Amino acid sequence: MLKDTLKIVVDRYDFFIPLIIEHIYISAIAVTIATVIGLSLGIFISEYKIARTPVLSVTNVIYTIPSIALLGFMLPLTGVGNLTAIITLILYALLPIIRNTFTGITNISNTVIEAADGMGSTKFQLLTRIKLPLAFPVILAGFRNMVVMTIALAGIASFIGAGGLGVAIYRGISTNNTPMILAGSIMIALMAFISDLILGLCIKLIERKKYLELKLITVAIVVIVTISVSYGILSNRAEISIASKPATEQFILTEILKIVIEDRTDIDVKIYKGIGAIGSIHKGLLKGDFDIYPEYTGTAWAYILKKDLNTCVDKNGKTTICDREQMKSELQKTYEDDFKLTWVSYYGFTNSYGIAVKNEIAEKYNLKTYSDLARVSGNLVFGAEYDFYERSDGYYPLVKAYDFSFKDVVDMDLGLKYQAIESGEIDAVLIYTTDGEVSDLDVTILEDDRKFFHDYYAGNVVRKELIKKYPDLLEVLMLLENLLTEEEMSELNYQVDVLKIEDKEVARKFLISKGVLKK
Amino acid sequence: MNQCIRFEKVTKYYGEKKIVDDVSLSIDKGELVTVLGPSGSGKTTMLKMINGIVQPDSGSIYVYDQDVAKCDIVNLRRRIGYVVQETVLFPHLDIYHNISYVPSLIGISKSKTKRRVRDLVDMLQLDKSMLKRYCDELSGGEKQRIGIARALAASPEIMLMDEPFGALDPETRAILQDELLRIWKELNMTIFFITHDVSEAEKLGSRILVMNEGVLEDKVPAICVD
Repeated sequence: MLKDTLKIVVDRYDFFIPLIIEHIYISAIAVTIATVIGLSLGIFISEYKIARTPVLSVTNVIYTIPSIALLGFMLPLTGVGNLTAIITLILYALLPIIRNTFTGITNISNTVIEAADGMGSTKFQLLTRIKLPLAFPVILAGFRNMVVMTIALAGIASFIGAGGLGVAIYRGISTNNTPMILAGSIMIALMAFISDLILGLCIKLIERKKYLELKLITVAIVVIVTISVSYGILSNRAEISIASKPATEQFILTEILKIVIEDRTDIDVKIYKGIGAIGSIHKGLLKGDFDIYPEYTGTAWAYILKKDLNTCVDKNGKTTICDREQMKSELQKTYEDDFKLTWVSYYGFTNSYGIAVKNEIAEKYNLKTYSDLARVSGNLVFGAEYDFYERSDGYYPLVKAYDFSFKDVVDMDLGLKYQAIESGEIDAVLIYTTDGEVSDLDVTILEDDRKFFHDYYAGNVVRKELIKKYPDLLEVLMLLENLLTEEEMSELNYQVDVLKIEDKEVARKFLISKGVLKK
Repeated sequence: MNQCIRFEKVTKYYGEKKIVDDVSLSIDKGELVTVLGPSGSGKTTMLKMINGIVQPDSGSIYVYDQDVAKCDIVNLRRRIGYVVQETVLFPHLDIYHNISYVPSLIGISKSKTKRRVRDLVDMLQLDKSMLKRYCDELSGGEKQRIGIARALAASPEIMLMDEPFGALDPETRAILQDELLRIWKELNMTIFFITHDVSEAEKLGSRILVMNEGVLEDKVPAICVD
């Protein structure tokens, strides 16, 4: 395992290095701003005791909010991406710096302050020449805590589309690539550890009053941070931002988009991979954070429009299940009128939901259809990813349609559910029909005999403004129309999920084989 | 007018306790007044009212006919040398920067400050190599000399000294007392010196005051300086 991890780091250093730089960039900006705000507030409450309780209680409360919850809470306010991550990190970082500034200043011996005061220091001189220098070791200890915490916490920020090493972890989880998860985690741990070591050294140097060495270290840190920050700012200047849900298939599709657009135009493309928070990509498009993302008709129908599946009317005036063309035209109309978004180029494959059970269970109970499953569901544990439980084509309507009553229901991350069924933690699992891993599992895919699940035909959602800005883009995107069959998509997913080939590489080879991309 | 420091019917309470009780006092320029008294008698409070660290509950204190409560206190303090019990040197500054603290507050030029520090080092017979060191490496006597040097740095006309030699061994104390007397005569300063040691009060004081439960009484020194 360690060998695989090392190998992935060496083989894909060009993937990790920008992530490391971005991780430093996000952490450094958060740390810098938090230090400025935290120091000011800390000084303020040490001078004005009345503000002390409110400031400390509020920061304390923020500190106790789980990070995922805070990130989710910030999403509608500040959108997807690095900004939200940085704001969230700042909020967490405030407490240690405020508390230590306050403690450091208030713990200075009163006689020292009185002596300096009695010699004719102004309030400002007292603060800058006596209080802050004397409180500095305590403040620095808080700073050290805060830096380590921020670096670690920044790993979660990719959950809302921010960059950094969390991307590697999240990608690893989504593609069931354990060495990738490990590599990302170890790098974050190392980064936190090294920062802690350096700051510890700084504290020692201050105690021994070796200011020259301290200056050298400070200069080195400033240089590294400046490089990372300027890199971070420059690299964020892509002209088109493509978002991807945390799923292998989406990674491949977005890579295909990027390769084709960059091959046929001069436009720079940046992919934000694995944005996990439910519905956040759609909101990101509405806000203009993202320009394009691959979506499925059935998902948009049920999840974005929140419509029932059978609301269409046939020739005889009867309400029926919508067919593909009805759904496409209805989606196109609503997206253009209500969201200023448009659907461009359908890939040509459907990625439908399905339910699979372990082979031994299928044999034991003789299961072939969902209705068969319903008969014995009281003995079985069902697992699916989080958002399935929230959709109008999701768990609860499904349970209603088939009268399921599972013994237990587990929600887990997309990339973990196949491990869970392999290990027997769950008996039945929600799958996608194009999943690459399903063919390798000991499972039987059951038949949706009452046609509950729907047509999930893959296409691209694009901001209309983008097309206006780059009219040539439409033609380029049309190259993707009917590019992939279901079998081809499964095969590409298999290459990434099981064969562990990099998504970018899989996408490139496929485009070459299709003649879209020249060698 | 020769009057330097004047207390007018000054009273101060700490909570319920009357710590300074209706004190009136006038100190002339050039006097070295020693104030004797047991701890808690209110002598430190008296001293801290001169540079405005403590404000009286009633009555007024005048320094050079300026009401301490109404004048620019920061400026006044810079003109008063201040030496505290057990000499609080600033631990984060080296000795040079400790001594030049007040000149740096006022913004006196670096070259002038440097000359001044050199003069003070000579006057207090300090070792020049000490200037780059920090106070935790010094003996009590050295710290006290530096405390006095720091108080003298901005050439004040008044010095407030709150039991500066209290923690020193008798030998060092005697030496520093002699030096203080020498400097006092040399610079013609007004010094307000608090001690609880009768012999110290008698050795140094051109006038000796005794403070008892917030009340001040003049005492004729056994050995007159003049």
